[in-house]
Amino acid sequence: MGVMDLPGGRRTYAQEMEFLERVTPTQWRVREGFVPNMRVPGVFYVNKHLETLMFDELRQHVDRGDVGGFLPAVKQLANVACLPGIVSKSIALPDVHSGYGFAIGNVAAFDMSDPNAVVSPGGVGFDINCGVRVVRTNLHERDVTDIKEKLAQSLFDHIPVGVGSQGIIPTSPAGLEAALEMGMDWSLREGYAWAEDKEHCEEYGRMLNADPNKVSARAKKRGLPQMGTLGAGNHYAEIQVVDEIFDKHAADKMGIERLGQVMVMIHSGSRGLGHQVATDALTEMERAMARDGILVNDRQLACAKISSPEGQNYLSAMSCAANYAWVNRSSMTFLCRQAFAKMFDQTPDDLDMHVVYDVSHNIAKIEEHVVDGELKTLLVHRKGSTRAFPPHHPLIPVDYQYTGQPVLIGGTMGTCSYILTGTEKGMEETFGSTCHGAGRARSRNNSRNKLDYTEVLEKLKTKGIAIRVASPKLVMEEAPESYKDVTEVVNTCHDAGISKKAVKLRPIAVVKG
Amino acid sequence: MVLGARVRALAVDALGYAKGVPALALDDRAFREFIVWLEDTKIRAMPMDARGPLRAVDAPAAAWNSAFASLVAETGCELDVDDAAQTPRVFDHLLEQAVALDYRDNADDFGAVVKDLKLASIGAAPPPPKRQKTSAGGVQGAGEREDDAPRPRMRGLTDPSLVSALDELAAVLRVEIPAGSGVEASADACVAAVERFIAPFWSKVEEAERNAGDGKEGRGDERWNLSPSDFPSGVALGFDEDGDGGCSAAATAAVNVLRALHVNDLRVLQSAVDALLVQMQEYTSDPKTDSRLGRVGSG
Repeated sequence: MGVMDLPGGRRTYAQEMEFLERVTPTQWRVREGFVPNMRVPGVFYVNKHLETLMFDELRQHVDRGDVGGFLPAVKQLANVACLPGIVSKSIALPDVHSGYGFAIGNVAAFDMSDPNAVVSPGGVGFDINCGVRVVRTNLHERDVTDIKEKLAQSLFDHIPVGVGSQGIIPTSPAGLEAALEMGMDWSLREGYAWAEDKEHCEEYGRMLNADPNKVSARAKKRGLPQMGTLGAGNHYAEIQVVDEIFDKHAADKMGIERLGQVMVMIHSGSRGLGHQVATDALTEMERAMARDGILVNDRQLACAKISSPEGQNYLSAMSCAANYAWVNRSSMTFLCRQAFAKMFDQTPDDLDMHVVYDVSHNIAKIEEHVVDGELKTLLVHRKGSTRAFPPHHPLIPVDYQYTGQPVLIGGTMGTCSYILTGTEKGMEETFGSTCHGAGRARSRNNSRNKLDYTEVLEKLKTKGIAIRVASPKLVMEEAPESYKDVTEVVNTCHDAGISKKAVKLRPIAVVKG
Repeated sequence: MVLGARVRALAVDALGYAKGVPALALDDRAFREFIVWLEDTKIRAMPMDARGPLRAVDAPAAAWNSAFASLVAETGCELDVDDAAQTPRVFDHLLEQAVALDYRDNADDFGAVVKDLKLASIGAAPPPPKRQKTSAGGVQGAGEREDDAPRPRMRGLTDPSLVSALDELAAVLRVEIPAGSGVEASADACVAAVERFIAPFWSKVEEAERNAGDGKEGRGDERWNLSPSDFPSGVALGFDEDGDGGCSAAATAAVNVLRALHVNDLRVLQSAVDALLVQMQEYTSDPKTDSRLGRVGSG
């Protein structure tokens, strides 16, 4: 077929596809030139099924022309590859979908020794340190089957959920300042967390460069009443049971001993505080870009030199928001332990309610990586992507030194979730990162228009899942139909070798905002 | 739960039964004899005059099984004794009962020893206290755990045969024991050494045990063999001695052993840190909730 140029010099779909090449069955490369000014290539991980989603999105974009909405994920991936200081490649994981500036599911690392290297709030996302925590119990599915509804209600009675919900852990403004600076050390000091919780948390639950003075009064005002709340959107607390164990050794190390074991998964972030920190930084950075002459392909990619005051301010404020999110998840763990303790009339200790791990999937961190045989200090942006460090990495807890870091992958409401472990191959190929969840296949608006919330709730009921929702009308945005299949996503990462499947979890009760 | 073959053999041996683990079948004479012995000397769940049918080890299956079932029921076990698949579970249940009762009889003597061994294995850090009772707040008072009272010791600690056996063990483990240190110090050093080498490989031990158990039930005295190369080494070592892209077996083994030692040291350090944090919490911790502040449980 002869290729006809589209009006305005735009490329046809076939012309666009010439820049993409398959490297392995699960990996594609985006060559320089796909968008102007690419400094490094792009790489994305997909399997046969997921790649159709990816390419359909690109095709629709070409057909539609350059108007409205987010760019397709693969274009966003390439635009990130144009940012100053980016190292090696811009990486997209199988759950990638369009987001603000950076695609959600994008990893990009910037060289700290390059004076022009940038930090971008779009590369972290608005819900800073949104993440997943899994708490194990020594209960078995048969202990909870009959009281599933009561247990879901009990969680719902303990954890504040929903849009604009307020926390029930009393916090003063001074307490908030301390929490922003100390992260989980604050929870520990106040007695909301156990010493072992901190041990099993990414960064030990505290970013050390947090400076509460860099967080605006507005952000603090939003954050103060929301501490210890689940929020709305895709956040949830789920009671799950172990459905399948792929790696017995790794599962053992996590205290996961048998099928049917009851676990609790909490998926939440930094609420309004994180959102405000990101919004404040974007405004500040637009001015800095004009001053420093930083050019980007998409104005959503607002960024600042890491060494500039704006860059440093953002990193300090982002760390505060990250600390806030850890305090938030710790507070909900505390509430959850209380709910279980009351329900089963045993102490959380006796129920063995230890934190298996706590991961962040929206964050930028300074890490050391080997790039082309050379050890470099990088600022790694992970947006909708989870750190997945291999066995024997010094930054993972001693209990996981032999298995690799546990990676917690929350499924969508009512579908399964996974625990993976980090691998050496992931360390080499993706800066020690892997996927974070299912990833949207349908926009929120599209879901609202096409799905009916009563049907969605009914479907969950027929699957035997107890559900409590604060705002039922938003449920269809989060329906499994709106997302990619989490199993496909996880299998792609497993097949690509960037993480390894350890445990599969199945929900039996959901509490949602 | 089902015990592994090795644990089963250890338990039978520790209870002082000389003939070893019998075949796990209700119609086996050795099995019946063992159960009678267990009931007569350890469990004593039924009154003496009711044990007659159980002692009739040559009785037909129906009669003996019902006597056995009543013993099992008496010990609070709800498993079905007539289901042959459940026999190992029933057996292990009785074994656990017997060990627990035996322990209770000698708790004072054993307790101190167990405590010492535990302390040695976690690097002398005090055990963390229980936290977060159902009602928020309520943290243990400081100093509650300080216990300097002399503990009762296990009998026979000065037995020369024990001392020489320990010395032998220390020699095998290459543990250096300073001259003049007591039996306890030697035991502590040996325990720490075993912990270091074995802990990282424990899941392999259990696997080996299960595999052994699958084939021949009851042969608990088999030794399991572990090779450091069984264990995933994790990071590539970055040097290549024999030219085929891998490392020499000796180098790999050395690295794995070093890693095991390192990870063990890290665990000891982390436990000490956790213990310190828990001590600190006794002074600072005061968790509160106030449900009037927010909205819970409404849609």
